[in-house]
Order: sequence, then structure tokens, then C-alpha cells
Amino acid sequence: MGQDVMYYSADIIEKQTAAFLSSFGMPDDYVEITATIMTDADKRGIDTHGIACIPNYYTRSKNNWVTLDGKITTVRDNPLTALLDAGGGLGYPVAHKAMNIAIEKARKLGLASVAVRNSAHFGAAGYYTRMAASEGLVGFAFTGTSAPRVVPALAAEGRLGTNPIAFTAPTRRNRPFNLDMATSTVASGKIRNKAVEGQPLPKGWAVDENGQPMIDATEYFNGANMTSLGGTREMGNHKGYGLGAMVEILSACLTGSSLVMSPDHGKRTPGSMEIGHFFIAIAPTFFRERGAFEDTTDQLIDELRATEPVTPDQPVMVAGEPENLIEEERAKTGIPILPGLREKLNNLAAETGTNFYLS
Amino acid sequence: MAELGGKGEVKYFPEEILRKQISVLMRAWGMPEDYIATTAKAMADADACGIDTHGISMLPPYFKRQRGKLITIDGPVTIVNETPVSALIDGGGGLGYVPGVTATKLVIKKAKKIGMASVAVRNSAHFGAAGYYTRMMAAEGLVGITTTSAALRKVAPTFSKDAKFSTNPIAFAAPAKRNKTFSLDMATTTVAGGKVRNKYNENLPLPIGWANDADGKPTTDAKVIIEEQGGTQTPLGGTYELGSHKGYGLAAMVEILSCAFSGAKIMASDSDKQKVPGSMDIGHFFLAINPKIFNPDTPFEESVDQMIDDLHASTPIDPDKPVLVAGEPEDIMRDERTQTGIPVPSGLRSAIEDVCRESNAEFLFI
Repeated sequence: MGQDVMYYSADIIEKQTAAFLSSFGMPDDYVEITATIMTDADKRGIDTHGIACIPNYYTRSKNNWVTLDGKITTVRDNPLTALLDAGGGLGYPVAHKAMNIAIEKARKLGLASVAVRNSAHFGAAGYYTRMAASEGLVGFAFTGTSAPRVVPALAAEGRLGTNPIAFTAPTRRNRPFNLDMATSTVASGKIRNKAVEGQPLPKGWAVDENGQPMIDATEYFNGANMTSLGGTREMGNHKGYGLGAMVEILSACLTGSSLVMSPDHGKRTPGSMEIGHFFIAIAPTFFRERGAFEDTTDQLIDELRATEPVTPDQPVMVAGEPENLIEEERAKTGIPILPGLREKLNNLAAETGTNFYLS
Repeated sequence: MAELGGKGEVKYFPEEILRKQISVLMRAWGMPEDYIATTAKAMADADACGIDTHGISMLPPYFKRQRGKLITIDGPVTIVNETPVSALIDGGGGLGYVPGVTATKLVIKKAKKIGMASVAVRNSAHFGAAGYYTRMMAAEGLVGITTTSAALRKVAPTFSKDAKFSTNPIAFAAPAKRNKTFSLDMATTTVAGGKVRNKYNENLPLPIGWANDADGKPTTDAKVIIEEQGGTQTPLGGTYELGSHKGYGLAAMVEILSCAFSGAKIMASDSDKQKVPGSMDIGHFFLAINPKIFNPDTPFEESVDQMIDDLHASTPIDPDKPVLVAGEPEDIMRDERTQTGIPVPSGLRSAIEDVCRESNAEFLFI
């Protein structure tokens, strides 16, 4: 394998992703949805949530941490709400189904929410909220995670996951406002990148086992933790901590999933990581005439983009715009795959007898 | 409130006296009788739990706003439209407490009946601490979310020189059983404006990341916020490196929830400035969810209790500073003030005394 970055069309990435999932034993209908959503992340530059997840998913499936053919069941169904059980499977098919149920109910009755339990990683939360926006609805998505690597304010140990929040609002002139953020200061991938480049960590990204700021990135992988958004007490990390706990309440307490800080999290049910998700959809037409919500959101986006920037070459953007720009760029260039990942996937293809399309 | 206290004496009063003082002034300004008790209760509650920026310290600015016809103190609160799951309320240009409590009671009633509900409010004004409303929802066994827009532009988006948002707070509360309610109530800024003012008063430098100067560069000089035009506060995160784009994203989310559902004006927009005469046209948003509808078998409150217990059990950095959960500092303060009374510093007392004199209202903090 070469040492260059190679570019592939989204179709090829999706085909490769699907081929892996099939060979891991995922049923065809789940494969189609999962590969579409994972490839959407690669298209939009969310490289941590696309095909790069495949090796992890293989490990989890092989070790029976996830049940790739887990049956999705509806535990409860009410006019405005539902509770789904993912059967221990990867979170994509169940999250897709949950948001579709929320959309259908909200279109009919004004708003809806769907809770999911017994699930696993579902990729980028913003995919599901964009589903709502493309139907003219406001969408929220929240998810729990597998590892408590984020420290509460004043704490020396990790108690929460990266616990992301996604929110999308529909528009008319602009692309939807699409916020998708971990409630930690940075994703651990950013810390890994600093370690690889031998650069120091900005104070506030990570803390050591005594809760003290960690500067040496290479030490991060010896059991250090991430900070809650804000980074330090002085910079308001109690707010990021509060948001992280809010996401835990919505994703775990509300769905009946185990808490990420529990010693037995992900260990109570064989074949399941016991992760919960929560989705909300709201129809703006139940409040104002059709199109009025979208016009207000467009007005806000226009005002924000017209703001004078600190430096002319770095214009003010709104949430979702960086991903939209990458999506446009990658539609032309293809999706870049780094040599390390390509080699990993090539080896995995050989190991699992999967066709390899990235040569 | 240290800056208002000056060197004078702090006096302590029971919550009841604060409510009375608020009521007397609201009556003198012409607030309808049936709005007064609701307003006084919500405002004094902020003082009772230590949110001193949102209680009686707001009386002098409210006095100015009603005298300057920025608000219509007797504006009628009306329901514009209503469905089984939603409502749109018009605040009539008045203070936000009655619209806020009306919306909250409505959202509670609907969510208890059908599982979840949301209510939007337009044409309102300052409604105090957002967490007051979400705690009302939690007291009825519901999960609550509340957001509000706010009037003064002071927060610049990431990469921007200009302020486009106010502090745009978000509140979230969830009921527990053994523990007190989990109650998050946070501005989406790095710090409250009062903290910048405190540094200014003490002539201390600001930590990098609290504020930017008129050129959008991080500054340690509190003067650029307090004395000069053009300085801005930062969204939560403080700098781009520490994730200010997330705080900015949350601020925009709060603006969308508060204004796009309700039709209240976008604070970033100059063209909207005089949209509604006699009104600050602030928007609020309320969402309530009944947790019992999902999980009758795994009681929600027990799971919240477990989380709170687990978080309390976290090893602290400093053994003298245990790990708390959202709402706990206010709970502790409420217990303390129930014993001591609510401290009212002399500077605030004299400011309220002036307002009382000009309003021909009885002054009670003597």
C-alpha cells in the first residue's frame, strides 16, 4: 500500500462500508441504512464517525459487545412517544427508525419524542436531526456513550461520556442550522492528533488522574480524561458538566439504560453496550403560519454571516456550515482516506474475507 | 452584588418582605392586581436561592424600563393559539413572569395529559431566572426545558468582532426522589456579566477567554466591557481553541427556540428593533416531557437519583470541594438564607429607596 492520501467517491466508500458490515453478519436492511449514514459522515468531513469506525465495530462484534443482527422491537407506543429496544445492535438502524417515528407523529400531532434503549454507537447525532429538518421539523438528538472519560467540574475522575447534543432547525433560503456537539471541550481524536504531531495540549483539553491540567499529549493515553466544555473552572466547565449530565438524564434515565459511570455499564446484558438515545421532533406549524419559523431562522443565519469577522479570511459561520463546505468540496475531490486507515481496512478485509475496493 | 453593597451595612430580610416590596412597587407602576403575586413570588425566589442578579436587584432597571415605555407593565397576557400539545402566548409587552408562569402551567397541564407539550411566548420581557420555570415542571414530575432571548447584545459569535447575542440562557430540570431536583440554569456565555464587573471593581485582570476587545482579540482588561463600546463577552468555551463555537452554537439554538417558534424579534437584527412599540419583544420557549410515559417499569426518578449519587461520589480534585450537581449550590444557599434571611446590601437598598420615592411607594427595607 502506498503512503499517499487517496481519494474515493462516496459510492465506493459506501460500498466498502456495506461490504464490511455484511461480512460481519449484519442483515441487509440494516446494512443499507448503516452504510448510508456512516458514509454521510465521511462526505461531510466528520471522519471520526464514518468508515474509520469499521475496525472498532468489528472488534465489538467479534467480542459479542454488540449484536449486529439484533431485533428492533417497539416496547411502548403512545400517540406522542415511543420506546424502542435495539436488541443490542449498532445504533444506526434503530436511531433512523426512532427519528422516522418521531417525524411521523410530530407531523400529525405537533411534536413527539422517541426513546431508545439497549443500543450502541449510532454515528453522528446530527444526521438524525437533519432528517427532521428536511421534513420541516425541528429535531433534537441525544445519546449516551460507552466510556466515562469526561470529568465533572471539581472532580479528578471521569464520570460522563462525551454525551453529544444535536439540534437542527429548518430554513428556506439557507441550509438548515445544524448543531452537533460533544459536551466535552474537544473530541479525543483532536488530542490524538496533537500526540501524533508531538505538540503540547492547550490547557483545558485534558486532565491527569489528579484532575490537574495535562499538557503532554503523549500521556493522554495512560488513563487521562477529557474536560467538560469550558475546560477549567474559571472558564465555566461547570456549564459543560451540567450539559453532559443533562444528556445522561435524557439518554440513560429516560430510556431505562444504564448510567455510563456505573461499574457494570455495558456489562449487564451480553451482546449489548446498553447505550440509550433520545429524539425529539417539533412541528413549527403548530405555533405559527407555514414558513414563518424558517424565515426567522434564515434571518438569524443571514445576520450572523454578515457579522464583521476578526480577520477577513475567517468569515463568521453558523453551525453546520463547516460540514456543508466540506461536503461540497468532497463532492468534487472525493473522500480522502489516509494511508494508515487504508492499510487497517485492507488487513481487516483479508482477515474477514471481505471484498476490498480501496486499492 | 458586592459592587452595590459598597462599604455600607448588609441587612437581612425574610423572603416575605422581599415579596412585599416587589408587590408594592409593581402596584405603584400599574401592574394588574392578579399579576402581582406571581411576579413577586418568582422574583423573590431568585433572591432566596442566591441568584442575586435576577431578584430585587432588577427593580431599578424595571422602573426605568416601564417609565421609558420599553415595557407595558399592564399588558394583557393572551393565548394566541392552542392545540392539545402546544400553545403560543402573547406577553402583551409586560414583564415576563406572568407570561412565563402562564406558559409553564399550560405546558405542565398538557404534558401530564398527553406525554409531552411545548409552549412559545412572544412580545414578553425579562422573566427572571429560567430555572424557576423548569423547577415548576420538575415539581410536577416532568422533565422541563426553558430558553429565552434577552435584550442586550453583548456576546460575539466565534470569529466575529460584533456582539450578536445576549446571554441566551438555557434551563433544564429533572425530578429526583431522594435528592433535590437536578436543575441546570446557565447562560451560554463563558461567565455572567457580573463576574466581569467584579474583576473591574477590584482592578483585577480578566482570565483570557472571558472577553474580547473591539477588534475581537482576547483581552484581560475589564474596561473594554464596562467602560468602552465595542468590547464583547465570549460564548461558553471562551476561545476557538477551547470550543467557543459550541457555546456560540448553543446561543444560536436558544435564539431559534425562543424567537422562531414564537415570532419574537431576533436580537441580532437591527431591522427588528422597533417591531413592537411598548415591548422588548423577548421570546421564551418551554418544553415538558412526562418521563413515566416511556418507562413505567424503571422509575425515572430512581435513575436520576443514582446518577446524582454517583456524581457526588466522584473523587474530588480538592477534598474540601466536593463534586456537586446542577442546582445544588442554589439549594445550599436557599437553606442558608432560610436561616439568615436574604442579604440586601446598602447600595441596593438605597437604589430601591430612590425608586420607591419616585414611584410614591412604601420602602420596606428599613
